[in-house]
Amino acid sequence: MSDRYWLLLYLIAVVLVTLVHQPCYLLLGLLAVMLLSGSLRWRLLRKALLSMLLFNTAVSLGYLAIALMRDEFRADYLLLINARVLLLVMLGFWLSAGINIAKALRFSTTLSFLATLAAGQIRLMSRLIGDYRTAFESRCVKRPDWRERRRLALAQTEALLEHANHAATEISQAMRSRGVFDD
Amino acid sequence: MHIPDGFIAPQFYLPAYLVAGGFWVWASRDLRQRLDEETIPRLAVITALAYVVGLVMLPLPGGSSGHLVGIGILAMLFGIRLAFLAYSLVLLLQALLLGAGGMTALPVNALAVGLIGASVMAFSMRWQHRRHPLPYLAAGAYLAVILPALAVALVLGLQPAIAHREDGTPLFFPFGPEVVVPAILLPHLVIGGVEALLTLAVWRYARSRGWLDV
Repeated sequence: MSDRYWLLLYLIAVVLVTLVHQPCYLLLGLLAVMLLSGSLRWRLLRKALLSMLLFNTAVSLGYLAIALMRDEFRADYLLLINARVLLLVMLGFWLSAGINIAKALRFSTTLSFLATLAAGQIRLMSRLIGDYRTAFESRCVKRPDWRERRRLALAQTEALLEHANHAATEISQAMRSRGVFDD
Repeated sequence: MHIPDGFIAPQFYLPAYLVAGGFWVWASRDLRQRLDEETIPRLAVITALAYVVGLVMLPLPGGSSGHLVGIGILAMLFGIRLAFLAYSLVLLLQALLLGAGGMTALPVNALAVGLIGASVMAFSMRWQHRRHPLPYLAAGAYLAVILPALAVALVLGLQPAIAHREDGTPLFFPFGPEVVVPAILLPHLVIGGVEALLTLAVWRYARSRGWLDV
C-alpha cells in the first residue's frame, strides 16, 4: 500500500478514536497498536509518553484539583483523556516511523518538495542547536545565569540565521544545476 | 501554545478542517508561480527555522515553560498566504515527527497561529513607519503571539460546553474559559516579548541580506 493510503488510513483512525468515549475500547486500541507495531513498540511508547507528559500531567493534575474541590471527580475521565491522547500520539509516531512523509504529501508537488527540503533542514538545525547546547554546558562549571543564557541565545540565533542563509543559497544552486527551474 | 492531540471534540475540529481547507486552497493558489528559485529554498529553510524555534523551551514563572512560535518571521519574509502554508507544514511535521500538536488540533492551530498570527504581523509590516519601523514590527510580532494564544485558549475553553456526558463530565478538554484563558495568556505575555526580540533580530539580518524590500 502506498504512503498516501497509509496517511489516509491514519486520518480515518484518528477520527474514529475521537468518536470513542469508553476508556476500555481506547485501551484495547492501544494494545492493538502495541502488538502490530512489532519491535518498534517500546520505542514508540516511550517517545509517546515523553511527548505527552508535560501537557497531560498539567491537565490531569489541574482537573484533579478542581474536580476534588467541586466534588465532581471522575476517575474514568482521567483514564479516558490520557488513553485517548496516548493512542493518538502512538498512531502518529507509528505512521511516521513506517512511511515517508514527503511521499505521502505527493498530491502536491510543491508541498512535497517543501516538506522534503524543510525536513532535511530541520535535522541539520536541530543538530546545530544540540551542538551549541552541549558545548555551552561543557563550558559551564556552575549553573549559568541569565546573562550567559542570553549570550547563548544570541549566538544560537546568529548561527541558525547564517546556516539558513547558506543552506538557501546551496539548495537554490543545487536545484538550478539539476534543471528544476528550467521552463 | 499548541493545542495537543485529543483535546478538541470532532464537533469542532471537523468543521475547523473545512474552514482551514478553504484557506489552504486560497493560500496555495498560483503557488508554483509565486515560488521562484530564490523563494523555494528560502521558504523551506525558514520553515525549518520556525520548526526549530518551536523547540526552544522558555522557562516561565511558576515552574512551567513555553516555546517560541516563529510565525512573525514567516509572515515578515513571505506574507500571509505563504506564512500560513509554511506554518501549517510546520504543524504537520511537529505532529508526525514530535507528537506535538496533532492531526485533531492541526486546523485550529493552523487557523489561530498560522492565519491570525501571520495576518497580524503582515498588517504591522504594511502599516510600519518608514523611518522608525522597529516599534511596529515589535508590536506586530508580540500581538502575533498574544492574539493566537487568546484564540487557542477560547477554543479549548469551549470544549466542555461542546462535548460532555449527560452528567456534565467533559469528554475532551476539561476547563472552561475562566480557567484556560488566564492560564494560557499570562505565560504568552512573556513569550510574546521574546518572540518580538527574535523577530527583530531576524528582521535586521534579513534586511542586511536583501531579503526584504524595505
